[in-house]
Amino acid sequence: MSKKYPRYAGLAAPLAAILVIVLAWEGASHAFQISERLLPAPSAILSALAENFSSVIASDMLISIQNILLGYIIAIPIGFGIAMVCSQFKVVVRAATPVLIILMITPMATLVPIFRLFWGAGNFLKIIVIVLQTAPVVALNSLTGFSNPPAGNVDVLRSMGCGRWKVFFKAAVPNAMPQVFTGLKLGCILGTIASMVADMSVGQGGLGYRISVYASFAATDSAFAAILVAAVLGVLLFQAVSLFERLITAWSR
Amino acid sequence: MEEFKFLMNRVQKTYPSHGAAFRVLGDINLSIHAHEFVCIMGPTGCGKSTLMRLMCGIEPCDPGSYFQFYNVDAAQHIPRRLLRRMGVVFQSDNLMEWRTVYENVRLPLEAFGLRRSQAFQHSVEDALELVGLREYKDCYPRELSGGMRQRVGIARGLVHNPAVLLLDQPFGALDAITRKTLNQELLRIYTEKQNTMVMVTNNINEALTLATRVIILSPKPSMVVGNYTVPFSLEERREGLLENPRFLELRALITALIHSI
Repeated sequence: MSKKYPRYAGLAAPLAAILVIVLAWEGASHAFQISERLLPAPSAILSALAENFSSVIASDMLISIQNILLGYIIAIPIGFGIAMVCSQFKVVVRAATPVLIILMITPMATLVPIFRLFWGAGNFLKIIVIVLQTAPVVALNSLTGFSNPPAGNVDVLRSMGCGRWKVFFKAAVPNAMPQVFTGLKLGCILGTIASMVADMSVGQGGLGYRISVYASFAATDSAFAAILVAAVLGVLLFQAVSLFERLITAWSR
Repeated sequence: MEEFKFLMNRVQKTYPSHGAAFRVLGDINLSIHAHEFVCIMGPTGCGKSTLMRLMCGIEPCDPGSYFQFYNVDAAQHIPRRLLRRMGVVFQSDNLMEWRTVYENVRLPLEAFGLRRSQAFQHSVEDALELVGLREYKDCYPRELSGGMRQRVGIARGLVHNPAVLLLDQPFGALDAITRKTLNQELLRIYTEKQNTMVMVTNNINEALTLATRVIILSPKPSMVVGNYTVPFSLEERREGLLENPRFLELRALITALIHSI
């Protein structure tokens, strides 16, 4: 960081931006008398949240948290494993990269109708969708990092008689941490999205399911309340991963 | 039997290049004894660094080369128990950016499985003390100057107390003043530890300040074309060497040879 801002500015500036947007929204919906069914005011959303949180939304939130965390935690070692094996051979890096990009871009929730035939509708199916959406982006970014260990560091280790895997764990992995965390952060975003979309097409609870149910009853304020909870979940997960990143890659700043 | 640290006979190294074989080392014959300080010089691109890479076991020699380290055949592969007797200081310091100074210096102890050894309990601190960086042990490499980074590189080369230290143009990227200071530090370390030193350099003053013997390589495919014993005492090396008539004579001789090839 080249310029030093006061500590509170880092938090105050984005909070002020959010406050301005919310106030403008609130003001506009009263001034232009926008229909509550189309776009409820923030105050209406908050009161709908207060009304429905403990009775309905909370249990959906717990299902979503469980699915996202399980899917994410399963996807990380799978992504690392793929990257670790692929990074050892230049040819495989070339071959695997486009495949991973295709997997990353394909919306995995589109597979739900097919996968439902194998595993039935339930959380297991949703977790599979989350894993399929998250693992490729973790793998792709880790692979980029793992396949370019600094040549000088590799020489140092080779002069100490270190073999392929020692070089991998002592040079490639730590050097790749910034890229790995890029993958982990993208993964938690994609995982959250995948979980919502899976809820919508699978049903069986979850915030995505609750949003579509509320919307089908035209309970727009309650639907927005559930969306708000989903957004907060995503932000919290992202912030948690970012915190780990700051701790682990302190050397690069 | 006389102990050679390195014994090389008809050592060759060929790299594939655009489908053809490109010979870098033609026919290297060289022996290095215990407690020598050998400087290897030669025109730019003559394969000095390649020779260094063979000596520290990063790359194998061509088949048919006779290459011994500690009287053991090491042409294709140097066993780890022998690599343990060798420390390497690289041209660019090659520090790991994610490790602190202390952790960088500790690396050889981890690689050779000496971390828990009683004998090496304080060796990281001692090595840092030797290069005057003890109070920087918790810094990351990016926080250090070029000269300090190379000092850390030297400490890493010495931490496992190797009998042989290989240095590949360690001070090439440094300014003249820092270079002179580090030359004197290296001279002090050599006198203190009495280990065998092999250093590639392109600076004749540096070579004659430090070396007990200077080797000259020809351009590719390179061979040893000059071999000079450097007779100066420690006192002479420490001060006023640049005015010493024998130094000037030797320097003129070696410079002329390098320019003539």
